[in-house]
Amino acid sequence: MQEFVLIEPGSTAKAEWTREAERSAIRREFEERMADSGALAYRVARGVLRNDADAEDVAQEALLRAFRKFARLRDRTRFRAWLVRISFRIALDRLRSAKRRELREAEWMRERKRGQAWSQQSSNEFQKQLESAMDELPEKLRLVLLLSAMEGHTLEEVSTLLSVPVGTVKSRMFFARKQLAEKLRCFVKPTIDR
Amino acid sequence: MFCEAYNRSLMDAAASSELSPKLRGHLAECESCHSAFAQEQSLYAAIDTGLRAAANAEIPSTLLPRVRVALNNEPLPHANFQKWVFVSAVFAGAFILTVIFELRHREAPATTVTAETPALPSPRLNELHPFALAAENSIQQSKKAEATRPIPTGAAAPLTAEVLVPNEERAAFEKFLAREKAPSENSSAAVLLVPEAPKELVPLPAVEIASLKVLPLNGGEDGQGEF
Repeated sequence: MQEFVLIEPGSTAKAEWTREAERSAIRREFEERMADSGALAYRVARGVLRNDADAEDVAQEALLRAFRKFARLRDRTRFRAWLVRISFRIALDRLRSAKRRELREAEWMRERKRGQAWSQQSSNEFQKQLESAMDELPEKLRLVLLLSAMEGHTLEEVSTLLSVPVGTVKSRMFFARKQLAEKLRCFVKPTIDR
Repeated sequence: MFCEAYNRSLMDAAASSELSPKLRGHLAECESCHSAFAQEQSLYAAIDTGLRAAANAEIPSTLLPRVRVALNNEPLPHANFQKWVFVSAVFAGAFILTVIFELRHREAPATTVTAETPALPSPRLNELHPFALAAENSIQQSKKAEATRPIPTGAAAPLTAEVLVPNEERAAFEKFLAREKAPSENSSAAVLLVPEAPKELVPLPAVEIASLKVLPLNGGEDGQGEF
């Protein structure tokens, strides 16, 4: 029995095959890069959202967005930096919308939780305080701090990821750490004195 | 507690983890600053530890398989050059259409007379004005062919402007061209100088009224007054 193959009008089977091969190559390349940088996207999202499930959703969305525009990325070596920015943006958007919702729905409950948190003095609580202090940092400072703490990145690597000079990374790190220290000093001191 | 003089610099040194020899020397001498600096360092160490714990969370094992499944449902991305090929084809098509349109408009019917009335005639009109020359050539050709009306030939149109001249006006037009071609000083005198008005006032004789009779409006016999 003869087999018929449907092809797009105006194009030959060979052209179709070439296009398909090209797409497969793009997909393959993307998957390789995703395996390498997927964790980074997740960690950036988690650093902002502090919630595993939300971070996973954000990382997935960031990877899908990156895939849609992957063919337009001229310099493929910039993939990690590009993905970090996409993930950070999406995570921030989600955080803002969640905060708005939270404010709308249960302002009083949030306040009560915060009061409780300040009264406790355990290492777990220090982590919570640190994370809430991180939330109050400006976006630029927060991202630098997160990336430098992530996967043992050096200052040079962070500057490459953010496409900013090393000096800028250094100064942002300095100001971010100082701001965190100001907020957490009173919390840590008793532990140290003991 | 830090000494007053070293407070700021030691706080900054703890934040940046960079100690200058001067500060190092002071810390070696001052017990108070030494313990305060150690406290600051332990604060930053706690922050760094907390940050590392927050930033290096374990990646869930479901993430990448989930993304791969989602990628299967995504339309495969097109390469960039395909878009450019499409855009180039559209531009090329538009250019070809424009060229064809232009060529069609240039293939206008040929005319027998080509001329344009000069706005400012000059004595060297035959040398300067291409329209006049083209018109004369056309007239001579048409005389030879004894053609009275323009005959469309389908040939490419001349670049000069064309004016259709009826048969009855041809003689007048030829006369006009002959006059324009003839070197004469009068032909260029299109602009006349208007003499300036005299600045001095011309004395006028006083108006004299011999007699004036004033009557009321209803004073006349026919009911109409005089002034």
